[in-house]
Amino acid sequence: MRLTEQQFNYFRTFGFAVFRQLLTPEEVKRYSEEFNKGLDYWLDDNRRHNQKNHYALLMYETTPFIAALHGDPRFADNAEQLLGKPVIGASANGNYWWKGDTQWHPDARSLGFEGVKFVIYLEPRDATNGALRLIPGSHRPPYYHQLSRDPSEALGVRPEEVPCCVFESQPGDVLAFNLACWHAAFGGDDFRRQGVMVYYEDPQTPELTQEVIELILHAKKNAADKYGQPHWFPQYWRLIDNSHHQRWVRRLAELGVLD
Amino acid sequence: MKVMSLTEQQVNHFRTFGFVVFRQLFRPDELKLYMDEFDRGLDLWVPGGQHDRQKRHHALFTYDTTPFICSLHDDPRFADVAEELYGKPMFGLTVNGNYYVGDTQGHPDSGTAQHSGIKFTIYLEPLTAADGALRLIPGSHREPLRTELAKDPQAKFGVRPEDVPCYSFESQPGDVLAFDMRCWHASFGGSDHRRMGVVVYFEDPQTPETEAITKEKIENAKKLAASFGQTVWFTPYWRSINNLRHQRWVRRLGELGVLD
Repeated sequence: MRLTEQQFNYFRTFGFAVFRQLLTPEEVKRYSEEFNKGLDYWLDDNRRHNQKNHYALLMYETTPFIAALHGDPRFADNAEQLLGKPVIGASANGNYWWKGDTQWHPDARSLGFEGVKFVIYLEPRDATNGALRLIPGSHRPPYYHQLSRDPSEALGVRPEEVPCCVFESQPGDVLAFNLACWHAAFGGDDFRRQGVMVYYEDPQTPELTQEVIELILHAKKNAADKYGQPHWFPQYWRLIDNSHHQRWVRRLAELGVLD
Repeated sequence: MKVMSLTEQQVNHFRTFGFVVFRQLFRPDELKLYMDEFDRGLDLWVPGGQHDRQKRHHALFTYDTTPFICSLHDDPRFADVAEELYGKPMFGLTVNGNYYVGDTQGHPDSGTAQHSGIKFTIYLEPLTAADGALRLIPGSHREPLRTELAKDPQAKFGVRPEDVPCYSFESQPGDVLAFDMRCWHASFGGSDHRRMGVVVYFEDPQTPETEAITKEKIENAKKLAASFGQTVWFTPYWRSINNLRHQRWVRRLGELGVLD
């Protein structure tokens, strides 16, 4: 899959790109089934509605289709083209969002390195029921630094009134955003399913290398402490036989972050 | 009359996103007066006295036929706010109105980084994204977004103009939006008789470079008005308004050599 120059321009300027119907209906069905299986596996008594968010890696043999998508050209090749540099697959995971809102934030803690997150919603979403909202262009300075996690205090508007665009989507649509792009969601129902594929740029300097190592170690600890996930790069994921996966595994070993 | 004093948050909003919204800035009786004068002021200049709904019409509201609208130019809700948002002296450039037809493609009003102004927009019908509400790209008044955007989004970004990511100013009559004139904006799906009033201020230029840019922009604005039959920009009525602010503007415009 080769991105057009326009898609690259769009991502670079706005900090995200939309791929309508990137997954076929058959793939959505399979993704949806594996998603539930992969997440429910980690829940006590398989209970989804217990008033909290749930998160799980989808990189085990219970979710083979989703784990393989991590190295699929529609995601891995796109990630490299969007960032214009080699990437490492960092995570394929899923979330059950319990009700409520996700407040404004960027995923990146700094602008030192770049990463891209693909998000996959399994139900139709619009502004009123939890669609992802993004502030176009907010992935770059000085805009990135001028925004606030507390818009009421900083800008005098409620979080849901912050000027933004809304990723209204149907199942099969995929949005990719720069990890530094500010985003939020409001008005979601109590069973909002969101699948995620994350890629980090392959660090080429000591500073970037240290930043990526710290990010991965932080993510591993968070997944273990908050959601009981024992592995970050499970054995099943490491053994997937494609060129992306095997290069990533070698590189992650060099970085010393494989479990 | 409500005296404006902006909060720190409103100033932050304007500086961060390039615009700020004032809901129900007009009282109902003011809105009625505004609407009456708007139609009268525009229809005077429309051939046949009635908008043909075929093409845009534009008219200055700086005549004695529209005294209320003309007085808004130095109303604190507009003039004080303009100065508070920029933190520097401004001068009143124009008060005018438009009958728009159809879409307005994406553009900034000011194409230079060095100099700007502020435009207050007043819509007289309820508008949503689907039927002509003003769309703005938040943060596009500043770099790097400002120069990366394009008037042909299909060629640069591969999307239709109406699919460019943006914020839609959905409004009710009485709401007012103020935006930095460098901020990219557009409108799609509007009716064939969309009424928009504007009140505009420019930064008072403080260097020879910005003075030259300001003069050029004023001359361009005059040419636009002339294309609609408006041959006098700073009308005698507007110049004669007897208050300190107007008279300061008139003196400054005289110094700049742009009075008609």
